[in-house]
Amino acid sequence: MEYLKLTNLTKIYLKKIIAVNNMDLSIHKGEFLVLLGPSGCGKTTTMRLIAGLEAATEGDILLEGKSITGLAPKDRDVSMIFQSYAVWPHMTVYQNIAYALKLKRMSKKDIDIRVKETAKMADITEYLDRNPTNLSGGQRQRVAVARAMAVKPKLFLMDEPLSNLDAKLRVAMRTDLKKAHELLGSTTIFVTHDQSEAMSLADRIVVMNMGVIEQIGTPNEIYHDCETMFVANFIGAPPTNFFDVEIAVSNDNVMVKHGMFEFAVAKEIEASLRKYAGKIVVLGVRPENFDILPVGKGLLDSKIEFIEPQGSHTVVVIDIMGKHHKIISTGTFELKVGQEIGIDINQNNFFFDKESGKRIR
Amino acid sequence: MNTKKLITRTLFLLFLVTMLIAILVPFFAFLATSLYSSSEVYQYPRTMMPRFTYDMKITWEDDMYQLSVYEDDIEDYELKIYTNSPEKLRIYLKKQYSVQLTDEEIVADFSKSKDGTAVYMQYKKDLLYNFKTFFTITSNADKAIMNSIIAAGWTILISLSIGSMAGYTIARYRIKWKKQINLSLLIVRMFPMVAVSIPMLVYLIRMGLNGTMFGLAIVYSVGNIALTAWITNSIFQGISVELEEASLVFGANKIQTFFKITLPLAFPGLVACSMYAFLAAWNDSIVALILSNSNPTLSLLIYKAIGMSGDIQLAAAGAVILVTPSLIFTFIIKNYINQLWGDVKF
Ligand SMILES: Nc1ncnc2c1ncn2[C@@H]1O[C@H](COP(=O)(O)OP(=O)(O)OP(=O)(O)O)[C@@H](O)[C@H]1O
Ligand SMILES: [Mg+2]
Repeated sequence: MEYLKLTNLTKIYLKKIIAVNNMDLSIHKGEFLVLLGPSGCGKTTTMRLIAGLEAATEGDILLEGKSITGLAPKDRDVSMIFQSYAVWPHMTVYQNIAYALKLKRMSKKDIDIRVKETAKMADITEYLDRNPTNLSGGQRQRVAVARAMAVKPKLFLMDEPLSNLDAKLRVAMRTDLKKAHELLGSTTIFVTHDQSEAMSLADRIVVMNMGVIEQIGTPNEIYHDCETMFVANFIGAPPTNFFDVEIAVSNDNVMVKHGMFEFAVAKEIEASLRKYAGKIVVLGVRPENFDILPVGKGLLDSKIEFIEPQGSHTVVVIDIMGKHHKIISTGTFELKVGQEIGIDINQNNFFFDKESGKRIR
Repeated sequence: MNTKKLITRTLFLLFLVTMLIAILVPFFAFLATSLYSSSEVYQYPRTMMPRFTYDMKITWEDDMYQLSVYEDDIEDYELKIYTNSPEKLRIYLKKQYSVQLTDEEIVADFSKSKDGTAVYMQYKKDLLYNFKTFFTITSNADKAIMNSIIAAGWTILISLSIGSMAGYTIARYRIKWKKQINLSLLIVRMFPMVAVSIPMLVYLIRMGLNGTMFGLAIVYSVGNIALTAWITNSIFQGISVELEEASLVFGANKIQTFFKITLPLAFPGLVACSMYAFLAAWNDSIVALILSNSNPTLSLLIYKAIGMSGDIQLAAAGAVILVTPSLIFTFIIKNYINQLWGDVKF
């Protein structure tokens, strides 16, 4: 059974801004779910709806089978880590963590035990008596985490908790968060617009765009099995390369035709693509699914426009019919700007309906 | 580059010094004046420092005491008065030099001159003479001080409670005409209090609050509520909403959140606001004159006393009496004033 279930969840601000549109989502107990999407796609709004800081325009939120849609935030048994941490500056770290426990009318002794226990987990024991004003960003972040953990909530909500930290700390904190999650077995919804963060933390990723869910899946599914053009474009750096291609059906073969190249599609997809005979579809190819060959040996020939070495691999920018495409070369070829090369496209590629942007399977 | 820095520094220092002088010189001047004796006030050129003692010479001629006082400018004793009545001398010394002696002391000191030798005496000036005089010529000064405190207290209470509520509402809730309301708050401030107080008098009489400190505080609050709302609005805006939301998520209701999170964070600002309210009530004499003439506040009392006596040193003493509680109040809340523009949000 689902632990948290959103049905038809909709939020419209000021009668016209649709921030979350008809969202259906189920989360299992103990899952680490990441909401990923571009700025303004409604991630924060979704969190706030679940936390009760925003009233849903429509739809229902069920936690352990019970509707919490109408409840005040304090009665929902969720805790939240805010992007700005929202650590109270007029209280010590100890008081910050104890705040929720006091409101729960726990005894002084129990509070003390709980605060110390969580502080140890979050590695902030030595700051307990300090004021958050004179803590660093990373330390404040830990206070926010400890405060959220201390109440042992049914659900953790984290809204870009790492985005204010520097790159290195971010990666370290991310490991810590994941560890804490595994230790507590808590159910977590984590918002980010950093894909590598999403990939490394998530059990499942929810890709959102303009208030709707584009795809839900494991990091691997999201990357290798995109449902929509948006996901293919949004996930992966550099993003998927798109080509408008015509489907040509000749006797037994289903061919993909582009101004510069044509090839027969893989057997599994033939049947679906037949329906598009004579129509234009969008071919999506991940940068690493190109092969660089000597001139004339590949599907098409092209010229190298730029080279961006990344250490483990090299991003090569090539020109195909006036459009720049980024491909990844892991080979040890000696590549030069301006060099003519042959390009091959392997069969790991996606086809999308040009109108709807949906994957053709 | 370096010269530019030097110039800016110099200019800044000059500015600072000018500011300090502009503030300190008048303050020092009236503090000194409040300690002057009558003779010092009319002395020319004026000395900056008040004198503490007088050197006097008494001789006995023509059956009369001849009193001379040492004057610094001529570097000699100057004859001031001759009389044979110790009582006249006593009054003269008191009025002119703030030297308080009894008739017996005068006779004891002065009669030694009767054998023809000059007697040289050094008399201590009573530094608090002006203050004592102030309390004696104004019969009910202690009542007036209480009145002022009560009026200021009510003004702080009324304008802070209503004003900060308004400020919070404007800061936190989406309301129509927000900008216009905010601006109109300042417009309320533009009406002179005198203009407000005359129609208010009618209402206060009707409510039976005429002449009470509560009634007076209501009138003071009219302008101050607006100012408080204006200031607290920006204070509350400076407090991140997420701090309140975090409290809601972590188990508090809205009222608990307000008292445990919002209010403590806004507290320094509110305290500073209370100073505005305090000053408005404490320093006013015109409105009090209209609304509560028979039951005056300290400020009104001083205003009247100055009008009656015309002695500048008494006026200065009154001003010192009036300003001291303000200074004490400011001193008490000084930490909060400094915090006011510090970081409430982060
Ligand atoms: N209080 C509000 N009033 C009106 N519109 C709002 C409000 N809050 C959010 N919106 C709008 O709703 C949409 C979704 O906002 P939301 O904050 O959920 O985006 P987000 O995915 O969290 O973006 P980001 O990654 O930038 O934080 C945006 O278009 C935003 O302008
Ligand atoms: Mg957001």
